[in-house]
Formats: sequence, structure tokens, C-alpha cells
Amino acid sequence: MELTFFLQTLINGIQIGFLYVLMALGLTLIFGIMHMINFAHGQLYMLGGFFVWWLFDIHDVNYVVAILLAVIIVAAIGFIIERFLLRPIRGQELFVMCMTIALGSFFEFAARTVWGPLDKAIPTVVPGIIKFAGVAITYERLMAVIVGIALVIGLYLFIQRTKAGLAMRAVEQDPEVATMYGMGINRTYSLVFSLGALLAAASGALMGTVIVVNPVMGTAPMLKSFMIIILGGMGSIPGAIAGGLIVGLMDSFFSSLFGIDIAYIFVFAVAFTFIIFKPRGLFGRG
Amino acid sequence: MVSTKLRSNIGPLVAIALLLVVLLIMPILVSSYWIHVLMLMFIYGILAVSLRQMLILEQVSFAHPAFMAIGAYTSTMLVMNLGVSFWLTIFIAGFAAGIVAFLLGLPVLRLTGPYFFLATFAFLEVLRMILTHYYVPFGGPMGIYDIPPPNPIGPMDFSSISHFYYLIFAVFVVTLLAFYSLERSRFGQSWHAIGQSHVLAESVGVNVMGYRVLAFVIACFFAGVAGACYAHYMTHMSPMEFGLHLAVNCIVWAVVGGLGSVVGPAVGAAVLTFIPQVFKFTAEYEVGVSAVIFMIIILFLPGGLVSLPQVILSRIRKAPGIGIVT
Repeated sequence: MELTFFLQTLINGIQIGFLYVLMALGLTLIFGIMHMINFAHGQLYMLGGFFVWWLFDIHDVNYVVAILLAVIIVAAIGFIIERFLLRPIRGQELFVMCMTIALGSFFEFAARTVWGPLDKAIPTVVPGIIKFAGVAITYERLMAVIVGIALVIGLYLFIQRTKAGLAMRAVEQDPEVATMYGMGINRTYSLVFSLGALLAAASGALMGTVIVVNPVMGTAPMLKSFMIIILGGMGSIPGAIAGGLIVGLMDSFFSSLFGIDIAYIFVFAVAFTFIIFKPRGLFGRG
Repeated sequence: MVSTKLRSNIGPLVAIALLLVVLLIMPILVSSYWIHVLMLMFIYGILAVSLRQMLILEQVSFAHPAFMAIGAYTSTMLVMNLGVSFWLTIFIAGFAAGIVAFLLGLPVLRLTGPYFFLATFAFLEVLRMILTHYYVPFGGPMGIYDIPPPNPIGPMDFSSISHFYYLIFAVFVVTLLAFYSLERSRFGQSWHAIGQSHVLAESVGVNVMGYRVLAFVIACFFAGVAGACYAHYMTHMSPMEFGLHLAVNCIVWAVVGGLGSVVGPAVGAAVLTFIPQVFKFTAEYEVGVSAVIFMIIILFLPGGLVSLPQVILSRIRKAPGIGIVT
């Protein structure tokens, strides 16, 4: 393998990896604290992308404002979902899973009905390419990665330094004791689910600018994210970051060496092996 | 007293007998299109009823279409490449699925909750991609064409849809009877005990792992048989059909119908296959409508559609001024 080609593949992998990280973070956060898998995650991601396109491209809202608005709208949707649809069936694993499946297919249907099934391109705001030692990266993708890193750091500070973050960690460790100390489970669950939706929407908004948005854009990255949180350890935030980068690199290297099919098989086969021999993943506790 | 007991027993029996007769004379009554819909209902019913076995164990398997695919590909390849009779391969298909389920189940069934369904989902995707990627012998993404119908037996010629209908109907009835007798056996009790609390079941000496593996092998055997029937009926299949979409559908059928009884998932599969046929004029909205119906059932009718008559009856009895005062 040539050095330039190797470097380009490496850069591509890291770039894809960071967008996976954002998506997997929301998923792993929700799993870690609420002990459920959110099957509507890919559709919340899709909604994030669509709202940015709708606000920025159709209604000429400022780009940054459009992303912020889109993320807030999806977080609000997340809040409503948790409050009215998930809370009544909390603890019933199968029903919670089915509810998120139903929500996912409903959002996909809604997006297709309102905005149509076709690809929508969000026009680029930062055109141009950086070239360095024969390796090329667009400003757009570089910006997505930087915003992604900023969000990860922000999330980390939120969980470690704020009172709400402390409540989240307490509820994760022991819901009953946390309740005794006045940290409401309901409030924490609402917060966690909204935050998860927010992260999904943010990655959708960033991905939408890099590629395109369409009603089914969320499914494939969501399935990959499932495998990422297995690799990293379900519920672990460092795990989601490591897992996202590993899967991004595997994607990029195996696709360019053996083709997309084999790369796909490989990611799932590795995740399958992990879940059998090391179900706690790389960073999971216990 | 005796007469009321007899009456309450005779009612359902008469209803079942009537339903059987109606289903048996169906090919005379309706067009071949509706026979096709009914056959899909039966095949989906077999999948949903067998998956229920895993759902009551609290093991949500996403790999059910994978075992259907194993059955379908095993049977098709044996018939088309080696010339084995379908009447043999339908059983081989079931056993192949059962053997793979046994080998997969040993490591995977130790997992519970999200870990189990993510593991089964990873297995489904790996298998589907292998079927898609290798043109020899699996036919690649286009799948396999021109699958022959089963050899004729006496007057039954299975290239005719109404004759094939009876075959699939028979397999469906056998599946229902098999799961009914399992439900009433010692196994059924142990399965329900494990489903309610596997820790408690283990502490009173139930071999949890053994029963899980047994349930998984039996459920996947029937998925394999359903796969063989499906392939030879449709005469064409591709790996796309055995993906996440079908895995989710199997779970949805079972939950919508109701997990409380063996027949519930079959009812769910039948209703959810029937609805899109009726609401064809609103095809655009069909997905959204079924998603909303599904949410309503999860929130307000946890026993599924089969519990609907009971819920309505108890509402009527409870309503003031209508019910009989006891």
C-alpha cells in the first residue's frame, strides 16, 4: 500500500469515525442510564439532517442558527417521546423496544410524506479543500470533525461538572438511592433521552452537510452504531469514542482493500465475536 | 352448572371447527390473489408463533429471518443441485436451521436483554451479507430463480396455487398444534417460569440454559420449515427478503397479536398482512397508520389483539347501569 493512499484512507477513516462517535454517544448514553436500546435513534438523526436542510436551504435561516434550532427541535421531540410514550411502559423491555421501533418507522414515514423520498443536498457554507502531503480533506469535513470533537468535550464536561450530570451518574449507579437523595428518576430520564436525541440530531445535521439527507439516511449508521457500542462497551462514553474510531477505520481500510461487502461483514463479525467473548466491550465495567 | 360449563367449552370448539371449514373451502370461494394473501398469512403466522416461544423467555431474537433463510437456501439448493425431493428437504431445512440454532444458541443464549438481541442481529446481518456477496453457490444479491414446486402426490399438483395452499395450511396447523402441546407440557411450564424470572427458576433447579437452547432449536426448526415452504411457493428469493425488516415484522406481529396465547401471534400476522390489502387506496399512509396503531396497542392493549374481546367485555360489565349486579 502506498503511503499517500494509506494516509488518505486513515484520514477518511478518522473522519467517518468521528461522525459515528456522535451517533453512538447518544445511543450509549441512553443505554447506560435507561437500560434500553433506542431503535428510533437513526430516525432522530435523519430528522436533525432534514431540519437543517429545511431551515437553511428552504427558509434561508443562518447556517449556525439552523443547526442550533434543528438540534433543539429534535431534543424537544425526544423529551415528548420519553414523557408520554416511554414513561408509561418503563421497565417492560420488549414493549419499550417495540415502541421505539414504531416511532422510528413513523418518523421515516413522516419525513417521506412531508419532504419526499429524494436526496436533498445541503449547500456547502465552507467550500474548499486542504491539501497536505498528497492527502486531501474538504473544509466541510474538517469542520464536521471539529464540531464533533467540541460536542464530545462538551458532553464530558456536562456529565462531570454539572449538577444534572451528577444526577445522571447517580441514577446510573443506583436509581433507588439516587431517588432517596432527591434526584428524580423521571427528570433524569427525560434529560437523558432528550440529550441522546440532541446528539443524534447533531450528528445528522453534520452528516447531512457532508453527504445528503433523505428519509432512510439514518438506518445504516444506526446499525453500525449498535456494533460500535458493543465494541466499546454498552453504556460507556470512552467506549463509544474508541469504538466509533475503530469502526470508522475498519470501514475505510477494509472497503478500500476488499470492498464494501467484506468491510460490512467484518464489522458485524467482529462485534459478534466481542459480544460473545467480551460482552462488556473494551471499556465496559464489570 | 354443567350446562353452562358445556356451553362455554362448546362455543370456542364450534368457532374453531367453523374457521377450519371456511379456511378449507377458501380456494373455491375467493380469487387466486386472496389465496396468495392467505398463504402469506400462514407463513408469517408460522414465523410469529415460533418466535413467541423466544419472546416469552424474554429473549428477543432478531435472527428469526436468518433461520428462515437457512431453511429456504438449504431446501432450494438440495432440490435444484442434487435433485432431492422436496418432501425430504422440507425436513432437512428444519433440521439444518435447528442445528445452526443449537450451535449459535450455546454461546448466545447465555446473554440476556439487549446483549442477546444485538448478538442475534449481528448474526442475521453477517449471514445476509454472506448470501449477498457469494454468487456461487448462493446467487448473490439477485438470489435464486425458478425454484421448482414440490413433486405431485396423487391428485395434488403443487404447481397449482390452490393445491399449494393446502400444503402451507397443513404446515401452519401442525405448527399451531405443536406449540399448543408444548405449551401444555412440562416444558411449557418451565419456559413460562424462566420468562418470569430466570434467576428464580434457576434457584429451584430448572435447567435454564438447557430449556433456552431447546426453545431456540424448536423455534428455529419451524422458521426453517417456513423458509422452505416460502422459497418453493414464491419460486424466487433473494437475501434482501431475510433482513432486518422481516426480523422487526416478526416481533411486531407477535406483540400486536398478543403473547398470552399460542394463537395470538398468528392473529397478529394475519391482521397486519390483511390491513395493507384493504387500505390499498391509502398505500402512502399505510406505514404511518400501522405505526400509530402499534403504539396505541403497546400503550393501551398490552395483551394484544386477542385480549380485545375480554377487555371490551370487562369494560361493559364494569360500566354502571349496564352490568349485572352481583
